[in-house]
Amino acid sequence: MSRVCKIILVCEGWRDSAFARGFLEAAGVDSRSLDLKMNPGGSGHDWVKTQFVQEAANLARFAEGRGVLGLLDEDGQGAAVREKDVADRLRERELGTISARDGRCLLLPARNLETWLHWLIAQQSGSSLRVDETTDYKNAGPPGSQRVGDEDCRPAGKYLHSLNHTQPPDGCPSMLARGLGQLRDFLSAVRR
Amino acid sequence: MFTRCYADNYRCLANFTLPLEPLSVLLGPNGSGKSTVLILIANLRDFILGRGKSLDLFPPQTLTRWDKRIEQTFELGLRLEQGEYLYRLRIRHEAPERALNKVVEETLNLNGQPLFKADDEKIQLFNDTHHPGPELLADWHVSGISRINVRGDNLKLMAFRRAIESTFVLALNPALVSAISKEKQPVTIPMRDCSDFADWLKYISTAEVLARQEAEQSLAQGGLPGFRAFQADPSGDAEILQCIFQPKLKFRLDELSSGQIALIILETALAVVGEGHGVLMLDEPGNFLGLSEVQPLLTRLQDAALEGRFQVVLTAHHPLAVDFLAAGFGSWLEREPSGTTRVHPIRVAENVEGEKAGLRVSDLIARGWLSGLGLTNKEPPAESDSDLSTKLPNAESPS
Repeated sequence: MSRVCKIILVCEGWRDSAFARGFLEAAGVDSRSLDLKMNPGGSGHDWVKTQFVQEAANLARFAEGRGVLGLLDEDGQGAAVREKDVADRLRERELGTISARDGRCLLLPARNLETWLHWLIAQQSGSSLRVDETTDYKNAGPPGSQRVGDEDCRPAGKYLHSLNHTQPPDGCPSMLARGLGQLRDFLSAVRR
Repeated sequence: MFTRCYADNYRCLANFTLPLEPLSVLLGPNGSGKSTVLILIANLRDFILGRGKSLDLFPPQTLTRWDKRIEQTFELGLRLEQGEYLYRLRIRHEAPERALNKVVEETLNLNGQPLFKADDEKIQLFNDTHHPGPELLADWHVSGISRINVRGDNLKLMAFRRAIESTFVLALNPALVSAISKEKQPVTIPMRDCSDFADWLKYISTAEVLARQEAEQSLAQGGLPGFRAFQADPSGDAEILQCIFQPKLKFRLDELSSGQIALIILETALAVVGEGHGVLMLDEPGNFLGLSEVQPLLTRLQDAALEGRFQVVLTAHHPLAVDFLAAGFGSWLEREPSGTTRVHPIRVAENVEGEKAGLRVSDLIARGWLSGLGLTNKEPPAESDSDLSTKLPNAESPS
């Protein structure tokens, strides 16, 4: 009667976690080997940054070779600043760098997860929807898009797994293409 | 799915309204009324389905002790594809000392239009276009809805009854679970403590084959390593439910540990409710489970509810459940000195920021620092009981 937790998933909310879990499930990762950390309230961005670094520290101390996967939406400063902020925090605690190959994977939508969801759902249904990575689609999607509901998050993550990370389809949001590559590296790291 | 439950003059529930969402988590101190809500819904279900009489399901002991009124009122709101249903039941205890009561009102409306109406004299049936149909004599102690047969023109009422049939309310007590199946009648809905699990599984094995297979598969891949399948061995007039483990080990259900029995029941319930897109209400599902099993269970319940596969209502004291689900899904139940239960949505953000930052919700509850309005006990909410039910819908926005 045991559950060996191999991946700590750090997310702001259920939608982010469902998307990431969809990808991992499609990759054959047993959902029971995940431990979810979701923001209980308050400022989500800072919580994800803090928790990601803390879990990286926990992994270094207790479970070498396993992984922490985070998803961090836009906080008004741009993806590069977000990434640097987390990288600085890791460096301050001598925890290395953000590196999916080393089991520390941080997904960074240029704006938020909804951009990726709209594009993936459209792709899956055979439509070639164009998305603007800098537009906020949380309340309304791009012209011609379908409504994105909670029930779409895991399927979108699963569909992402089916894409070729070395040659993503035309129009794939650049940060999603980057995230797909990171996720492949991350899977290799946690399966070692 | 259920959208609300109302009760007046039932145990600690007086003029009490609980809004229900696809996922609702009821939190609160011991004796605050969380389990009472689930027991009430189970009893209303059993009454509507004809599984019990008003005399048994709503005895005089269920009247609020300090309330002198002799009538109890209950309402259930349900949202189905046909629209918004409202079921209302009023029971009068005319001779509580002799445990006598009678149904004085039972109605079912769909989008405000009648589908069924009964008082203590007659039952008025309505067809699907809400036109009056035949009249029947009322039975004082039995739901009129349970007595109606399926016709071509009452499909909306039957949809309501099917939804009620798909409501499972469980408060597991593995020590009471028997491996012996001896019921001759099919057990379509288990008892709250699931002591009749073996009988329920027997029914599932014939009527819900896919659900049984799914439960077996989930157990084998999840919390019961080595588990392969259930097996019913004949024993006289009864059957003994055995659990087969690899390589060739066989254990009676009641030989397993409490945690293993709880897992078996929960996996089976998840599979059955998932097949029927029903409602699963669990009283303290984290009880008996190992710590590492709790979060996977909560994640699956949350996924099922938010992805629209079935509705989930939980009561929880377990810190993992509280911290995982209180934000966004939690309702705080508490009893006032006068004794009635009040409910508030939990606004976690107000409690984890500011002066109480850094504390988990379970810490706040353990220290008695959390109330539903994000206030300490020094600043109790000002509304009276009668105000509360009308103010609840507006209580969504931060105070």
